[in-house]
Amino acid sequence: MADPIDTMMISASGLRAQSARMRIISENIANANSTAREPGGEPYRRQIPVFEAELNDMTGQMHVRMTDAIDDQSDFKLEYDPGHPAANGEGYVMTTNVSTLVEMMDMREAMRSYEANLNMIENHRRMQERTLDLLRR
Amino acid sequence: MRPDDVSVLALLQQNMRYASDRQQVIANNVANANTPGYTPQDIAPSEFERAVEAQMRGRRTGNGTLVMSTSQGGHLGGRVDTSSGRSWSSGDSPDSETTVNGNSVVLEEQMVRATETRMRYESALSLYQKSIGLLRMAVRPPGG
Repeated sequence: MADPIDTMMISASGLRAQSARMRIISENIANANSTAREPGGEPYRRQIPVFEAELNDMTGQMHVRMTDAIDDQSDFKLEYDPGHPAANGEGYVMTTNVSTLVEMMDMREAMRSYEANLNMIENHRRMQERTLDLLRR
Repeated sequence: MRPDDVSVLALLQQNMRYASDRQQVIANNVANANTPGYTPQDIAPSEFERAVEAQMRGRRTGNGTLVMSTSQGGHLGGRVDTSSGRSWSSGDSPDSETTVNGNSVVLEEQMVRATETRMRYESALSLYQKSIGLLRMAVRPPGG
């Protein structure tokens, strides 16, 4: 029989991964307007969380983990703002490649996955509870 | 006499064990709902049926164990215990959609499977409770 704690641990690893993803998303949103200090410098680059299924030595089950956050390699946007300290010769400032719309979509997805994991824990908990009821009579 | 010597109870126990194992596999799929290249796993109900059939066949020949057939005098009847340990295995079972990153978990479908598994578990559990109740009624002295 599957160890009841193992099943919970798998869902917990999912919860942990999704909240780590949420952290990255909030980092991106918080830095949506971060530019460089001087001309030629790079503004904030959007981070992308990387998920991986990996074997947990303790339980022998595949857990999920956010292993890394990598740089988004898409181009920076250019904005005309000659008065900005980071403006180049033509008066353009490089701004981040963060799109708040994309981040919002990502956040929704993370929330949905988080809820699904919670749902699985709840499901499992109720199953165990019903089994323990056998002792009660 | 152990509870699983009663074949109804043994079958229900097997059913619950199956549901519990399947629930774990589904939990794994949900946890990996955003992992690139992940293919969801499932323990098909046919796996369960096959395992139960093997166990029931073993029950008829021995006490919850599988006995090797002996056709000649020198053969040994080695015993394989099937009552413990899992006798079903999970296999790939991709859902209806695969995203661009190669992940084929559809949360809705996994949720349906989880609910189905829970219902199966709970119905087996209720039947188990009822059967134990019957046994209890039988051992109670009359008028007691």
